[in-house]
Amino acid sequence: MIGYLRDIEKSFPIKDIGKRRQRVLKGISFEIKKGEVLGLVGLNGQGKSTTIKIMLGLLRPDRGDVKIQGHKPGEIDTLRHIAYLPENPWFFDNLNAKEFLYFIANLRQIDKERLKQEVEEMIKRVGLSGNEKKVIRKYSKGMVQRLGLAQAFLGDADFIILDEPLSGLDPEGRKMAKDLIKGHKKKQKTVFFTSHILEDIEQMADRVLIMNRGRIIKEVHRADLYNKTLEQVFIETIEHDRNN
Amino acid sequence: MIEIIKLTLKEAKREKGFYAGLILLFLSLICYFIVESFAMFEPEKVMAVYALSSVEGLSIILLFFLIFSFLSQDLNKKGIEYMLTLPIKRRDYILGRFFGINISVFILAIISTFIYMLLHLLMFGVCPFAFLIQLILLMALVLMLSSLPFLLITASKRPTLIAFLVFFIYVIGINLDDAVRFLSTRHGREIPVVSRALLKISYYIFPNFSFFDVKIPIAYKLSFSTMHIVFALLYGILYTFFILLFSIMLFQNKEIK
Repeated sequence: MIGYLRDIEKSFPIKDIGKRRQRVLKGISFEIKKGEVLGLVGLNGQGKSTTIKIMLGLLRPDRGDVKIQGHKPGEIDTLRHIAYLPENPWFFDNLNAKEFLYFIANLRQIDKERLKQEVEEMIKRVGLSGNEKKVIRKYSKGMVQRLGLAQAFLGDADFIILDEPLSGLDPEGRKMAKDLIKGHKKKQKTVFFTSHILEDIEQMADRVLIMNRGRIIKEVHRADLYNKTLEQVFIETIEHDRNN
Repeated sequence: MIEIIKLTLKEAKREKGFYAGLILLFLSLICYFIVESFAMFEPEKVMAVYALSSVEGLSIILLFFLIFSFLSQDLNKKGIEYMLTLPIKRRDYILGRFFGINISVFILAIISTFIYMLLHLLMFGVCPFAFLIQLILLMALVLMLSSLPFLLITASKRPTLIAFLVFFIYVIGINLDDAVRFLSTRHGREIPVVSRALLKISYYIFPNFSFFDVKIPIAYKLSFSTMHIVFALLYGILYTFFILLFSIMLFQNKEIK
């Protein structure tokens, strides 16, 4: 097991000043198994990003227990095993792709001898060859997304968290992203990702968590789908939750 | 931390503000000759004040530009959120950014000081080594001033507000000595007790940047004590140390929403 979240609760103040708080996560629990591709789906504003931020140690839960690789989230030992692609990523505007990936590779302590080769291979894999010396602020949204995937998969982190990894990518880019995820799974590494495109999740994930109103309301295994699509299961589940 | 310093230096080098700083330096050098032609009495002293003020002005402008630029990208564009998901200790983020910004400003301050020293030597036949004392004190001032935004980011996510507050503190800091001196004058004794008390409290809370200003004594070759320089340096370093320590302690447990 890579990690777990148990009975996580999180609330935020409704206004900057005042005691009234809105509960965003209401006791979510799940495990992340080694070597699996785990998807998290839900409507907008249901707590997906908050869950990711708790897993990364950017936010602390009000209640509950989280462990990633046996450590608390946010600790340096945990972060060494994690790579993250944020939704609508922003990377250092004044660097070029090569400089940025070298920076990431150095932080992930990639072997000096392999570093150059790994960076160049990754630039090629994500289709940024020829643009690696262009400063990032001149990149299109799709190119930034490709660079985001490159930094996430660089160095073969044990656990990769991807927030909307296929957003802004063209069909070729989407295929590349899916290949990267599948390739990572083949190495017995773990990928956790969110997406609004359920078809993509259905194609890649071994297990999908459906989230609504701050709770995990259903866990769907690929084998459980039978003759239904994930989209049908998702809509049924959300409607059932709404009616109860 | 070294990686963050290198990253900050690379980013600063390509910032428009760094080039704007170099252009301003070039303009101030052109103005040097214009001002020199108007200086009727003691041109050597007048130009020394001009040179030292130019170096200070350029360094402070570049510092504010870099502070605002890095705060904007780290806070507005969520750079800070991404950085803290990398294997970087939070204290290394603060110290890396702090030293990166300072080294960039120091480079401009050192280059411009040496250019002015050379110019002074060519114009008046004397090499003003005392400019180096003002350079060292300016560095201490820059250290102090650049530590403040790191304390303020623990309380606010708005780069404009933070940059404004740092500027506000800077303006108070350079005028503190004059304000306190005013209190002991006849007019100063007439101001309300509450205002006098507020001013005295401010004197101890806000950083006192007037310690770092020895432009007039240097230009007019007046004597000033070595103890003043040592005290000012120690004050600057200790103040910076405590502000950074406090910032790191607060930032360590800060939630990044």
